[in-house]
Amino acid sequence: MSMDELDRWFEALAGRGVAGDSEEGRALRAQIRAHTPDLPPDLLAAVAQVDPAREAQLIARARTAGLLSAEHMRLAQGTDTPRRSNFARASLMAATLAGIAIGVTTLWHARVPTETFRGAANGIVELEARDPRALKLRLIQELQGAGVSATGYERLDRVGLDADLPLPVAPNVRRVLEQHHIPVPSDGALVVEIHAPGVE
Amino acid sequence: MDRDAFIRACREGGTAIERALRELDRSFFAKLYQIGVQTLHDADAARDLVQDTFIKVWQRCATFRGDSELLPWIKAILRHGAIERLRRRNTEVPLEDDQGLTSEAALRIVNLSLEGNDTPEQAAQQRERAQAFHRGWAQFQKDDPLHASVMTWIVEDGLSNDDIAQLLERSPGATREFISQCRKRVRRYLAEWYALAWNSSETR
Repeated sequence: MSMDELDRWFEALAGRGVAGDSEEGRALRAQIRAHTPDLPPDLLAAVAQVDPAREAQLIARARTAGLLSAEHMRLAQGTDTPRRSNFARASLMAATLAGIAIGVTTLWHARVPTETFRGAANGIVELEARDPRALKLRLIQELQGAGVSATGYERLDRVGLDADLPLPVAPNVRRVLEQHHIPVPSDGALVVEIHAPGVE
Repeated sequence: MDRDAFIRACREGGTAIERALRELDRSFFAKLYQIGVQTLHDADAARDLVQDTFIKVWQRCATFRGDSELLPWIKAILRHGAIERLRRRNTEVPLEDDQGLTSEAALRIVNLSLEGNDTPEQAAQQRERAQAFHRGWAQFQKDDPLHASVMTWIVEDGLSNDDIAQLLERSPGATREFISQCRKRVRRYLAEWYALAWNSSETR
């Protein structure tokens, strides 16, 4: 296949040698490399170090994004440890928290996705949700709203759905997937399985 | 972090993801941060971009192909995020360049790197060309960070037409048009450098 001038320019810019190499592309490449030097060594050393504050911020963001399960958060925060002292105070606190919880539950359900990304293997995305069937239906509806026909299934206690996403994946479909922490499949083959908490 | 550990963590989920997130930060933060700073010209925005990228990496981990390398895949996610940010914001005029250096300081570094065994006259010509390039390129980065960044990534990692199409979410034809635009624009911004370094008939 013959290459035109633009192709040769592009290939030379990318550092790939081709017949009839573009001198312009090569010269531009050399200049751009010279003008994009590395970070100064002191700044590079600073960001290359292990930074506990940065890591903590990252983990907090991962929790907010629903990447880490509620069970994991509870364990990480140590709140599963029984507290035997100050029982009365704890009871009062529990009652207060219960009251607050009742008040905010509706809002929470309305705003925060109730599912958690559990992982993915062999192209199957696994989510965890209190009501897998409800989430499955919601996902199917939202995908349909974005123009994608998804098929739900329930077999061997597994609740899931699959769909062939037209490529490239449209921004509105991408938004639906990202809202539910579902990775966008590069080949367009979407398979999601949803488990209730504690069910493998 | 190696790709096998990454794939294992992706399969296991939960606590394995937290461990792996820390590992990702330790392994790749510096490299990705550098790309973020070079692209966004803002240290805080670059830090935010890298962390956002790590989150997306886990949200999309099922799409990672085990036979490819991890860092290029993560860099593609980061660059996609950078493009989204560039598209969202109107270009701001940076007072300092991507390394936190003033324009004059960065140019001094380029000039120093050009000093060799040339005659004084040749060295002066080289410096003049370098200064012309620096002025034009800095203006291009400021006015049109998307095209300038994609050109930088083509140079750094040898992105192919398909890589760019995926990054920009464009068809191959539209990507070719984008590349053509890169060339047109860089020629306009670097007109002074072209005039010094090239006979105009060679570059058209």
